[in-house]
Amino acid sequence: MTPEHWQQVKQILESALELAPDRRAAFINAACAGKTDLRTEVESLIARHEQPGSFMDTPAGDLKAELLAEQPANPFVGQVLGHYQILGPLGAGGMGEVYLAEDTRLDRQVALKVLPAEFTQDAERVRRFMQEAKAASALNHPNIITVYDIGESDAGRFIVMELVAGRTLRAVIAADNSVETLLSLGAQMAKALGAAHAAGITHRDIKPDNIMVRDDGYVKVLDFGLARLLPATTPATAHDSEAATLARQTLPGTLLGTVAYMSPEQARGQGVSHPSDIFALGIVLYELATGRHPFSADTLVGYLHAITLQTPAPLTSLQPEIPAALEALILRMLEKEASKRPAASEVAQALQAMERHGTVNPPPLAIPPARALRHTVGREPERAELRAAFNGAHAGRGALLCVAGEPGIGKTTLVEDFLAELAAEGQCTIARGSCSERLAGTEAYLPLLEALESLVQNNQSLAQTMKQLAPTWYAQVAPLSGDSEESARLLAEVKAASQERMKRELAAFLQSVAQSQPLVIFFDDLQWSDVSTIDLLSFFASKFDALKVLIVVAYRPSDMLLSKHPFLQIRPDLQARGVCRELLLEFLNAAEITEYLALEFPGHRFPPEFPQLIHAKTEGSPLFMADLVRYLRDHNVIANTSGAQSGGWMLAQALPDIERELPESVRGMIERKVAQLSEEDRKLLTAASVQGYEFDSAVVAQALNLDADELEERLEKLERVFAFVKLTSEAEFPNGTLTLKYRFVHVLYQNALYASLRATRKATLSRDVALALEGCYGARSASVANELALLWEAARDYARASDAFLQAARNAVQINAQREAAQLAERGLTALHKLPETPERAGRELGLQLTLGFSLQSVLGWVAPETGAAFNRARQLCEQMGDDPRLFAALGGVATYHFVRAEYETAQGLFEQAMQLVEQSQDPVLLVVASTFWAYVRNYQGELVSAQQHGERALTLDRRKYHEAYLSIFNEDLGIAAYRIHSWCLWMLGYADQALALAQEAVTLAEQTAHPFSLGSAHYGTGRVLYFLRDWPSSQKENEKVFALAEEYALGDNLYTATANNALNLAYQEPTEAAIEQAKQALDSLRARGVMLGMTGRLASLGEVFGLAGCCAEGLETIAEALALVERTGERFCEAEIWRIKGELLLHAAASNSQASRAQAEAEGCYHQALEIARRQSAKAWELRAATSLARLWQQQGKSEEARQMLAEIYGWFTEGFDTRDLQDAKALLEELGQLRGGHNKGAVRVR
Amino acid sequence: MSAAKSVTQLLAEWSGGNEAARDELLPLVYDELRRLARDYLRRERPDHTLQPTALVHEAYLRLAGQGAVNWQGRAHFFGIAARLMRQILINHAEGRQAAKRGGAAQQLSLGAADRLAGESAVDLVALDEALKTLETLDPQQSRIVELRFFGGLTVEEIAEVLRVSPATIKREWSSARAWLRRELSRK
Repeated sequence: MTPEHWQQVKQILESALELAPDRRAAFINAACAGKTDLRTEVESLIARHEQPGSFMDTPAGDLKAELLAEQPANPFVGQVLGHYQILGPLGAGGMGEVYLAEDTRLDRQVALKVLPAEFTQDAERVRRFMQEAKAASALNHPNIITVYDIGESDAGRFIVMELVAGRTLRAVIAADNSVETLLSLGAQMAKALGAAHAAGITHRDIKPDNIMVRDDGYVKVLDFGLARLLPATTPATAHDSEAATLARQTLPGTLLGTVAYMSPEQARGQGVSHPSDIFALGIVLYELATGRHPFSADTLVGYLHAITLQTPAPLTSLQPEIPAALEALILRMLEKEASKRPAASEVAQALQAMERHGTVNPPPLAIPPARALRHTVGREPERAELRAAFNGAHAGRGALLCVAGEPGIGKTTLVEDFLAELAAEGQCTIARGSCSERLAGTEAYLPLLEALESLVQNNQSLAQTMKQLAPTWYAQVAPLSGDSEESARLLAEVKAASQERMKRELAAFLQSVAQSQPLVIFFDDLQWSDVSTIDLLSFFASKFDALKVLIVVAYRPSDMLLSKHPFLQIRPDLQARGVCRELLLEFLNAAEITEYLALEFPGHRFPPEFPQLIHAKTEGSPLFMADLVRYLRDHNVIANTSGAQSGGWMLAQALPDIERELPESVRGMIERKVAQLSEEDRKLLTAASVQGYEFDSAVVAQALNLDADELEERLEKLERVFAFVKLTSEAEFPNGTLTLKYRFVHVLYQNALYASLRATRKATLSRDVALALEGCYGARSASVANELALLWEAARDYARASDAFLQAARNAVQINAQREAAQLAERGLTALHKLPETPERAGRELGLQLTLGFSLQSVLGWVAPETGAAFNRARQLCEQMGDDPRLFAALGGVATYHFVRAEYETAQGLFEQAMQLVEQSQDPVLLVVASTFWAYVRNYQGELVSAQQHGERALTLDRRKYHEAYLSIFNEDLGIAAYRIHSWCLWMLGYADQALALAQEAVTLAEQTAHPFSLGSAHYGTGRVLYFLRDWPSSQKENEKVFALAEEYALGDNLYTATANNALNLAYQEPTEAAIEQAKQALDSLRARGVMLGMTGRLASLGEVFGLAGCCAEGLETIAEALALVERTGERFCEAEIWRIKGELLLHAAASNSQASRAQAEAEGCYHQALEIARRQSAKAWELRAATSLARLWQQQGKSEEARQMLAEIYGWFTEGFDTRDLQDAKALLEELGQLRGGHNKGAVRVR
Repeated sequence: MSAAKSVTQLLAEWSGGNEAARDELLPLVYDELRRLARDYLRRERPDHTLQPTALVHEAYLRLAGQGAVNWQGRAHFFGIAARLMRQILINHAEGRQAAKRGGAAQQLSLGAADRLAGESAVDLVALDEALKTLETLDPQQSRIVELRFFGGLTVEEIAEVLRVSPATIKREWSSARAWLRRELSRK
């Protein structure tokens, strides 16, 4: 037959086959048209077609797998990878070959998995996988396999794991479908996932092949994060979409195995999250229960279809004895919608509960309690305390637990062990933050920010909650978590946020986090914390009764005492309220060391004196003890003679020899350990120690000019083999550099390494680290100014150090952390003083002095000598440098200092100088500042008309400009200051309603400024207006708002002036002896501080309340003092009132003696004096008071008509404020005097 | 160069008309199929049978999933895989050493008698011979049989691979099947 012939035959054949069988013969007849050959051919084929049977209907048969597979080649057997000798194949495992290997260094058997080269091409993926594998292993969870090492050799990358003797869950499924086994194994798997999920780790590839069941019933979940190594594909084309989806989502090479455990969201290509693991676990449990896969299918697509669309058959239909609760749980885990699946912790809890109380028999498999792998001895009472505190938090009683003890005593270990235990139980959320020794409390909220970051990192839902409830915190935490545009916007908001708001937000966020399960926050090394964090601790403590939060803090009590740490101030109060307990850790005793040795070296045959020797050497310091024992083992002094895992541990030397060789201190111990390292590793660690207790792989790599990959490998080894450092997290710097965040296993290690640096090397390294850090942060380096400052300082680059300190101080100012700001500025100055005097230095110093000055205005007050000194120095520097635009700010600071001391002449001279600058510069903002200054000066000098003009000028500026300007040239929102002074002025000028309105407007505005100092000023200002209005209760309320603010913020002298005003206020309301004494003391304390501004007015008030109490002599004495002060200082805003009060007191005093007529004459003189002064100053408010007093006197003297005329005249002037007490009094008197003239409004002139 | 990358590249070259690329591809694909089979065995399911469809898909995704292989490349790949499956089965059926392909020597392990599952009592050696004849008459039909019977692809998949309509495939399959059946019955 030829192809042509076949084509002919085929054509007819195919057409015929498309017809119904009974019509075929006729068709063939016609088609072949007499060609017999052709017809025979077609007919025979038709016959074959119609022949019964399934010829070739099914493909060439399913292959037995072994047909294709050769024996595994095990190419590595007998080889040495790193320090691992491959002994033989283990066989099991998903990705890559698994071998039994011997760790030649540590003399133990391990499982080693070689990753196929094609999975490790993408360095980024490998890094992420390593990250996750290590993070999961670091959880120390009994049900998560321990990864000892991740290494690389010529043969490729390999993972070294704990050797597990047992079988895979796949084998268990085939052999044992009992409910008991399911509950026991299921709970362990769920606990492992719960712990991983709590740490933000998703397994991504849960399936029976990835779960080992040890012979003793222990479950070990393997291959955390290994699915990370999957290659990414380019976006799918239409044709390839299914294939691409699979390739993107699954493990190539074990595709079918993995697809079968895919969650619907994965199958749809939507990515993997914690619930995906739950779905996979649901499938595994279903299989364990029934022996059948819930979505069993013949093909990949079949699996995918079933997973995304099908509801699994009820378990009871396959296995009737399955309890209903278990079935319901598994089906919930298999919900198509991720959000409907239970959390791992819930699954664990439910399975455990069924195991304990369920209808089923006790589990046949022993489940040892979750326990850290590290051996901890002693500390039972402390652990019990921690547990009790946690249970309390669980029940809704938040608490603060302090773990105190000296360095190396095991504070962190105790707490971390406890946290690991909690994590294993999966019933709480854990956050951690530590304080930095370097930054020593200068970085506001450092540990708290770290803790928050640890919460939201890798937890999208918490991050969302935080963004919603606590945006100001989110913005500070988010920068390293990506999403930069959004966080930049939020960061702008933070700058405008008040501390009040920040606290409120944080409380709301924590409450939300702790709603479902308790939140445990651990702050380590609290002795180095900042004041702001302590502030917040105290704030939290006030909310403990409503928060399911346990805060654990660890600190060194002696360091706390030495530094007079602010925590010591809040602790007694917290303890008294029963929300705080301290656990003081003691050194270990000999018995505990004996116990430790027994745990560490099971079945050892050490001489009984050995524990005593260790105890004597280490004095029971746990860190020293553990290190020492490890040292002895590493040096084969403690040796395993039998080679078995346990038993056979002996001492290779005699005790006296050992004793002679032992290091004398922890430090000595550490030094010896350091000496063990290679030169390169030592260099690496010292460089790291320069960055600090915590450091970044990327920074150290750049500082040492090393390849980042290589450095990471070495760090990993330093962690795994030498236990020098500990990986904490992975992060990305603003410039996109990836980094692994490490910390030393103990801060003493960092101390020792850092101390070992010689001066020059220390300086060079500090410089290199600083440069690297700057590079990594790029444009955002201002955010790490604090760290940079210390590095530059150590690098002896004092110029850069001082710049960085200045930046850090400004950062602190922006979050209203004035105390920290002042400290940082002072450190900057200290650094600067190491430089020779040059114009550059002067320029730097000027910036620091001004920042210091403004912060000190808040912290210590306007008139503190330190504040004055800072501004004076700033002014001196400006003059020295000539023509510096910052002179205005410096002058303002000095002027304010003198002004508040009531040194008006000096202040005026300075203000004039400042005014000249403004005239030169014509800067509108400066103009406003200057106008405000003038309004104040003129106001207190009693030049009210002039003050009014300046005040009005000050109020013309756009509000936003006030706000922008305030930080650089004034410590208060300019608008608030201007409103405040102008409101007082307006009151005196007779416009009570406008005055009050303006003051209240200032409060409204200040509430928006997010500057507590300004808000305090505004409340104080309003309180003062109300005080003028003699509305004592309202005034008191405003003062109380100042006090409330002052509890949280530094309000400078505003607090003291408000305190004095309030004392006077109370004395007016109830002029008791005690109240007056209180007021007197308040004035004395103001005077002692040097706050003399407004003192004449306060003395006048004090005189008046003396009078109210009938103590006229004391009153007159006080008034004499006030008048003397008026003359001495030139403070005249209240002069008229002083004279009037003197008149009142004279009259009052005379009522009780016989000198009435003389007194009346004297008083009348005083009143006239008051009237004259008030009229000269246009102080209508004072004038009205004086006129009222005089009218009353004249009324007594029978001169009613004169009295009426005089009072009516001034009363008639008023256009507003008729509800105020002064006007009401005047009106009442006028009515008494007989003829009240009607109609008040005679063309009111509205001022302002 | 990683295996995946070279497969992508080779497929592209082959699509571009470079026949030598196919010879280089064969051992790679074969190795992969073998490796997959080993994976299945390791999963402690000794009685596991491999479905040619799953195996071929999986091998494809493994080797080509990473790169942007075009549609044509995928068709070529399935063609190769089907050819390999045919080779493997025939070799086994002949019970002799497999042909050496591109340096990738394979020794198929011989074990129990029922290596081939299913009720099909087809004489694979004879079928192979018949197919070779069919190839001379109608290469496309021979291809369809290879893809369907050895590669385990569905009609729709073959249509996609060969870029013709499923109806055509069904028609061609029917006539080829009839022809083969007659050929085999002659022996």
